[in-house]
Amino acid sequence: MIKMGKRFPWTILCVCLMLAVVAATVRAQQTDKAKEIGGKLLCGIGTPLCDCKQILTQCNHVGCRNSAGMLKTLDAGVARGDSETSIIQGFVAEFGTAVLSEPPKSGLNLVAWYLPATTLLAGLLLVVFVIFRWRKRPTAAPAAPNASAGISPELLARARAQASRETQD
Amino acid sequence: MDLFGSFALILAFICAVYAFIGGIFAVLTRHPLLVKSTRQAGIATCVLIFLGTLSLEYLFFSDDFSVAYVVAHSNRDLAPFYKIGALWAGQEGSLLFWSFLLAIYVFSALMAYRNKNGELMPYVGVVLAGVQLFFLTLNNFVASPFKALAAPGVGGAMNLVTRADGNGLNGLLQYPEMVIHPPNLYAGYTGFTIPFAFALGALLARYPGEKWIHLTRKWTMIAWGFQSCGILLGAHWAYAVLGWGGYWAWDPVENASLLPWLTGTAFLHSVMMQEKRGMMKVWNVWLVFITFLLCITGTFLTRSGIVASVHAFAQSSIGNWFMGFIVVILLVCLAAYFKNRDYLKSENQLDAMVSRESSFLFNNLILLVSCIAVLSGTLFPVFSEWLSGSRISVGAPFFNKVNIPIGLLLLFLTGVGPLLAWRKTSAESLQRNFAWPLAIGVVGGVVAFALGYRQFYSLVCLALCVFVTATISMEFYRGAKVIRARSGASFVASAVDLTMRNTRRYGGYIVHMGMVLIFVGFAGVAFNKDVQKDMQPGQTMQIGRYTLLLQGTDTKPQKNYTSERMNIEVLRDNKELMMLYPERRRFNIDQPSGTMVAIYSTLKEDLYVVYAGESPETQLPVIHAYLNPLVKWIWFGGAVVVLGTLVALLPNRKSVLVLSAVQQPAALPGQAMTQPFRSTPAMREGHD
Repeated sequence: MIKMGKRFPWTILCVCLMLAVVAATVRAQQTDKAKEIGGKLLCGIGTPLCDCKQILTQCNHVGCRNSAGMLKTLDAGVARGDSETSIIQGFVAEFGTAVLSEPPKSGLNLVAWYLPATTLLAGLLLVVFVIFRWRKRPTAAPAAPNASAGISPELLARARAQASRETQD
Repeated sequence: MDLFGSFALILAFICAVYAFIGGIFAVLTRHPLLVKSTRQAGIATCVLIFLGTLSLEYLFFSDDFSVAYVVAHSNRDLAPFYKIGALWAGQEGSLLFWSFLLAIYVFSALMAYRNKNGELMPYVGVVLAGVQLFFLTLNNFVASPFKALAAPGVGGAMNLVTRADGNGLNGLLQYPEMVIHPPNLYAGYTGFTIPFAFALGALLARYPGEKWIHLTRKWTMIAWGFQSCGILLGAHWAYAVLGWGGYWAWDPVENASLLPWLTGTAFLHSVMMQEKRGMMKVWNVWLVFITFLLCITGTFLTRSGIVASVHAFAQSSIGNWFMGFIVVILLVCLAAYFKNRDYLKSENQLDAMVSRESSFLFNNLILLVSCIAVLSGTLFPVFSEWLSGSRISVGAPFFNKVNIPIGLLLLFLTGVGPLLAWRKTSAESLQRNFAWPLAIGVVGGVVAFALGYRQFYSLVCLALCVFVTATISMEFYRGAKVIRARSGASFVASAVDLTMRNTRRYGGYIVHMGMVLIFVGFAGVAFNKDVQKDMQPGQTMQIGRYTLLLQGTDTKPQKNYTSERMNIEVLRDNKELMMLYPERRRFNIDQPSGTMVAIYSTLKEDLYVVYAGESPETQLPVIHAYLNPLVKWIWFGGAVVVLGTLVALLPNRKSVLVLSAVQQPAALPGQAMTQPFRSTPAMREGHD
């Protein structure tokens, strides 16, 4: 008993320390989660209170009644352990889809998401096609410049030679 | 002076009408006198615009508060330095400033080629006069900066009035960079008018394919350099003033400045294919057309109010004018292209899939895709609302997701391009050129991983930066080694000599190096941290290795504003480091208050401290501190980009070879040194 009594405060201290660490971790996770979700929302949507349309967690207007209220709602949702989806849905229900910092991946918005990738793919195909086409075709004679332009073939050749020197890269 | 300014602008308009209409007749009739008189009308237009702009500046400096524009954007206590910047603080003045910068370009071009390129210049003159005419129409009839201040009097009649003092300049613009950033950006926008005029003129005149490119190469580089500088200065201003911890928010107006920069960059690369191989003629002409159209589109976005932006001017009917102008330009370009497209046939074929030419094609593709991604993202909320009726937002997370992979691909190509030979690159050459840079890049990635940069994109970015640096260094090393062997000069002197012999090529590499440094800075974004706290004097807050101790606050009245400063002592690893003074400025006139961020910047990270104001709940000062890694590299990289552009603009030094002491016995005292001789043909440094 005596031994146990001596160990008891240390045990309590250890447990308290562990709890503190766990609490700090949970708090840190909570903060990180709030920051992550806040990064997906915009401030100043559908309200004249703040028209900055900045990322919610980056809104730097102190006293901005808009971001302060939104951040409180966000923190409360995270503290309750609500899922990211349900927190975001809550904001969408209140402010509309414009509160999202990026378009939802559905319906017409898919155009915004897939346009760059589609352009890149189509462009790649086009470039490869153009390269193959250019490799196969015979060299075309240059179209005759406007006679009245007064550029002689010698002058043209000299200009090309100069360009060739200047573009040794 | 306001009457003088108005009169100068009206006269400028009349001269521009003559230069445009007379110029068309000059092109059709080729009458020498008409050609000369229209050119002189073009020069007179520019001089009159200079006078108009100087008049407005005079009104600012003389505090003439009978002019509405001066009242709206200045006040007596405004520092003279900012009275210069007040010129472009509003819609009317910024449009006049646009005309002013355009006039500088037009004047320079007309004077530089007044006795040259006689067949091309009348066409160019007409295009330039057409563009000037549009802006002068706005300056005179839509958004005149010389309107007198008037107030309704008895019976509804408007009476001219004079105010005792003005409303003052927007607080956000009262920062030194705001006097430098807009002129740079505008000089970029307006500068692209010159290559556009030459491209369109050459197409209409069926002028030899490469000639217009030779003539406009430097103009394009100057415009591109200004645009780059303007974008970076704008980013730095946003970082140092707006106080949200970042430098690029993908705001529609920021995006608008990036669009012509992307296509302009594509043009600067693809133009080499036309110069060297007579290829890509159609593509180059259209790249110039699109770049100019994007410059006007950017202005349209800023001024029409079509997209929501913190930069945008109030919504006005001026957007319709820009829309009309864009349509007219597009129609003219299409007509010129379809009329003379046979003239743009490529003269050469591509020899191999793996070649410098194909790398330029891919480079152009990536730049264009990035441009489309930014443009579509910027305009998508508008289209979405039109089509579906629902409002959506396209913010920074979208642009980052889409553009980061594209940017990395571009960075990779920056490294690959110089390693490929023109026409064809053999497998052995590929292996020889790629082995070391790739290995160094992989080692760089491993080191970055070990240093804690473990976010995927950041890690790839840093590895690619090392790879590209290795390829650029190899190019300099190989070339300098050849010169060193011949001249016996030091390695650094040889590298400088090498650069000066082919300024365009090596200036380009310096620009690439600058871009690499900028990308190093971008890689740090994933590791940003921030902490915000309501602080009492004596309290501390911790961020990373830094402890911030709020020692106190003070208030300093200045001439035009009152500064509220936080005195913050910074400790690093519990050792005193320095004092930082973030402040908030409350302007004496009716302007929103502004922040002045305090930044302790090192190559490793920026400690960025914002006094965000007083908390409405605790009434205590709110301090927001950020730790932003690697940001300094961006500004440093920007300076290198500007340096590279300047080098590329220099004329090449002639290749003069001097026999080295190793090859030639040293001259005895009193004996003449061996005569240097000119190398013929031009020396070829580096690979292929």
